[in-house]
Amino acid sequence: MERVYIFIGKGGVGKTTCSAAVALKLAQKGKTLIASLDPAHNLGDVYGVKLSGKPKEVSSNLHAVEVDVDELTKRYLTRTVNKIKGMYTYLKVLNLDKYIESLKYSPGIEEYSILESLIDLFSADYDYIILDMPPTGLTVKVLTLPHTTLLWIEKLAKLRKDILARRMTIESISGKKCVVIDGKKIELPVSEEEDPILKELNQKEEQMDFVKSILTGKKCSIILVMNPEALSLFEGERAIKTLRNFGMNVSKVIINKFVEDNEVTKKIIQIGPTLKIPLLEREPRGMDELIKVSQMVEI
Amino acid sequence: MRLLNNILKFFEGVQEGFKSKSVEFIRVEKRELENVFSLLLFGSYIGMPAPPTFLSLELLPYVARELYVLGTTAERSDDPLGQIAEFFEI
Repeated sequence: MERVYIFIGKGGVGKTTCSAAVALKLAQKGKTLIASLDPAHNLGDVYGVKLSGKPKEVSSNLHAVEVDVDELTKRYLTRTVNKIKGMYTYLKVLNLDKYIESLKYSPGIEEYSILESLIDLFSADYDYIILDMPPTGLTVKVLTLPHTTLLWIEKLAKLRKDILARRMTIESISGKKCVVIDGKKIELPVSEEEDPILKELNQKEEQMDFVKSILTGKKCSIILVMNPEALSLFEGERAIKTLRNFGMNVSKVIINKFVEDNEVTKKIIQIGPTLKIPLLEREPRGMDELIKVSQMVEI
Repeated sequence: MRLLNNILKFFEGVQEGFKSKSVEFIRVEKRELENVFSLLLFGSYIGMPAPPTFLSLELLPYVARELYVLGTTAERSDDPLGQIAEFFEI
């Protein structure tokens, strides 16, 4: 992957249209994939093509995909719950479907699902990857999740290693100990190599490090799409500040539906490199109109 | 001969006693740490800040022992002085 472009912004500003147009432009330079991660997909509507969870060729050198976050979440939770069932045998008789349904709405699960999709997309075999993200609130949570997770993993892993060190000392003095829980004899893991908790924590750490290094690295361009309105500006400024605190920088701002310079646009221009896309007679839909928009784009 | 065996057994018993006394402190420490670990993972149930949900969820299959410790510590928590007294054999 040469570069990834992440489009963020308030709902309705035109992220999908802008990202779709930029994707067409980039497809002239190399193999491009555009992925919509917004649960309320519009990408297919914009291209005038029916899209699904599998990448589909919509133009020469350009593939598009609408990631089904809901379906991925369900599959992820089913996998995890089956692992839990495997360990606690009396759970096997219970129907845990309702449990999985309610877990879907647990804080942080939707964010993690989108993050898992990011990990897959970053490893896909394309020169350019464009991400059409959900509205700002959810996106900022997703993009900052690797950082917060890494902090927790650091603390939990250190605590775990302390516990294992003490178990090892006790074992070397008074021999191996078995614990009886629920009528089952369990041998407690003692060394760092055989502890499944530490293994799991290390795996997650690698995953989160991978995403964080891409998001804060040189191969990533975060593009903020705004409308020439005060509310759009305020939300944009807050998003930029939050992301900067986590080491991620917005590299370009697109003023979509631009009519004429006013005090809002003057403030937006001060933020950084800006691209203005004019308000068109009607919303661009379908490949032909989108090609016209892509010709107005410099990337 | 029998006297010698008995003396040896006596010394073995003393040695076992010393061993278990020396690990007792580490055992208590370990239990406290295991309790803290479980609290960190499942703290959201009692309103404490918790790790991202997916982390606690994916560790759930492996924490049978930790959940057990959390449960028994909660059971004994109404008499913390009694626990300390037990440790120091007062």
